[in-house]
Amino acid sequence: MSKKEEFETIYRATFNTISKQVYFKVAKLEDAEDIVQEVYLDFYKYIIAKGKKVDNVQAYLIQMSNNKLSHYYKDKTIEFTVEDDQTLFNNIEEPSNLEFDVLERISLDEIWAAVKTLSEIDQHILIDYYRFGYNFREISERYQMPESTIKSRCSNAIKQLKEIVK
Amino acid sequence: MNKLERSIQKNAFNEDVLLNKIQAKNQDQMSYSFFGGKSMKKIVSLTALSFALIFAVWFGFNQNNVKTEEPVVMLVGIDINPSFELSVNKNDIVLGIEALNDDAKTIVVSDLIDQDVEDVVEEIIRRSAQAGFIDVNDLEEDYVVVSTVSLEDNEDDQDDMEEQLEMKIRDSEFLQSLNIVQIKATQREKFEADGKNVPIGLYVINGFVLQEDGTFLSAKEFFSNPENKDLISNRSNITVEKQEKLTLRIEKILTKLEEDGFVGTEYRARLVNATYEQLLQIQAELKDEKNNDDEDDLDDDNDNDNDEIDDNDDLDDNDDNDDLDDNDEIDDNDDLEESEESETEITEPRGNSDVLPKENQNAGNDN
Repeated sequence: MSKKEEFETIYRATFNTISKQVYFKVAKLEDAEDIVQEVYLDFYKYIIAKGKKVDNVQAYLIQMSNNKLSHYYKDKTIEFTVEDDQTLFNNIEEPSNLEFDVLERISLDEIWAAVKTLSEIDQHILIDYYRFGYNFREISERYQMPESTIKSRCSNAIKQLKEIVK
Repeated sequence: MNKLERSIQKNAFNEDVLLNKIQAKNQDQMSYSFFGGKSMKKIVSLTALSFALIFAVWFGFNQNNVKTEEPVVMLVGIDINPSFELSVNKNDIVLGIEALNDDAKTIVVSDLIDQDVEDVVEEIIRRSAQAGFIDVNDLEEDYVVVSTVSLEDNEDDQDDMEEQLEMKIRDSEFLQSLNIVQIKATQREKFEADGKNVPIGLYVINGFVLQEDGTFLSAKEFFSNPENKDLISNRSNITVEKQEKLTLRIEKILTKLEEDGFVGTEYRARLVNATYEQLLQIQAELKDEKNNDDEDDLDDDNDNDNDEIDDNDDLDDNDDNDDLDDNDEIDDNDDLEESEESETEITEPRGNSDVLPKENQNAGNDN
């Protein structure tokens, strides 16, 4: 197996775990993706390229991402502020098919452009839910927010998307 | 799957997109060569090479164990008390190791050339411990300063190196028994440190405390003061000894003390579920206990010495009496001289380094 193939095998086997781990600790999607890229670049440079062997690759990558995160925290203060919105969102209804129908009529890129206009916390919830497959309870535990708040935020975010793309 | 879900999966953490980006960046790094790169890179390389060469000539770089055919882009200093300086190329391979003081010259390191820098750092610290410069089983907290200086002024490379070293520290059972202080030093600091003939790591940490007599503290002396740790916290990354290692070390010391009759039950009870800070407190208390014990031993030794002197005086008195009895004046004078000599011998320390004056203990300590 060439070094490139070895790297790709490791990357594909660990990418989701590392991405989830990093994304839950970083407010901005772009920053999180940059950190994940750096982790794999360093892993290639220092381990694969040098022909070194690591006993537990996933644990090693997690440790590397923790190191990157600690450097990231040193440089930036994470501001993941969420207004006390329990009352604000409690009365919001579940998104109807209408919202999804509107979204079905536009392209994936247009939807993504609309997603990027949402607040960081709403982007986080949508990505955690739709990209990483977390359920609302898991997301609420990670962000230490009530489950109802997470659900309300998600519904509201989808309604906002419909308004944006209309 | 609805379109929203597909859009998010396409755009957020897209496995293939990120893989392509990583591979492109990798390729870029791999194809980065002195003669093959783009013109801007060539200029940067040339500038870097010129600077490295000027630096090498300026500081008499071509000394111990240094291969000069490859450009050195980074210097890594290790200060325990033996102090070393590693010359590292862009692939993080050690091209040269310089022993910066007499203690360092007692450790063989020439076989470590051409190895990865993080492995060399670990091995040098290990060999220093084997040579007795670090005792991971005593009550002293051991500090090792590992400093980096980028000769290309490339902070990203320096950050990468720091990170690699940090990974090594976290990965190594042995290094987890120590407190490692990582410092990113500048070329200016390196220049000034060389001017004062002080290893770079010690130069940086001593910048935080001014010694009245102009002497430089060793890493251990510097960090024995908790205030100094705070002073340097913004400038360094300190990886502290792992909690389980510290617990294990304290347990070992307790066992050793108990063998000498010390009752360690209370300390053992406190060790259970102790936090890291509490462990440090226990360690400090045990250190005080041990020092008090040593002082008591010293007092006892002195008392015994005095007793012995008294005994000898008595003995000499008897001899004198015997001699007097013999009424032999010449023998009497000889005995007097012998008596003075034996008294001098008895009052000298017995060669135990614990009772030697501090300056004698430090003799040969370069820092």
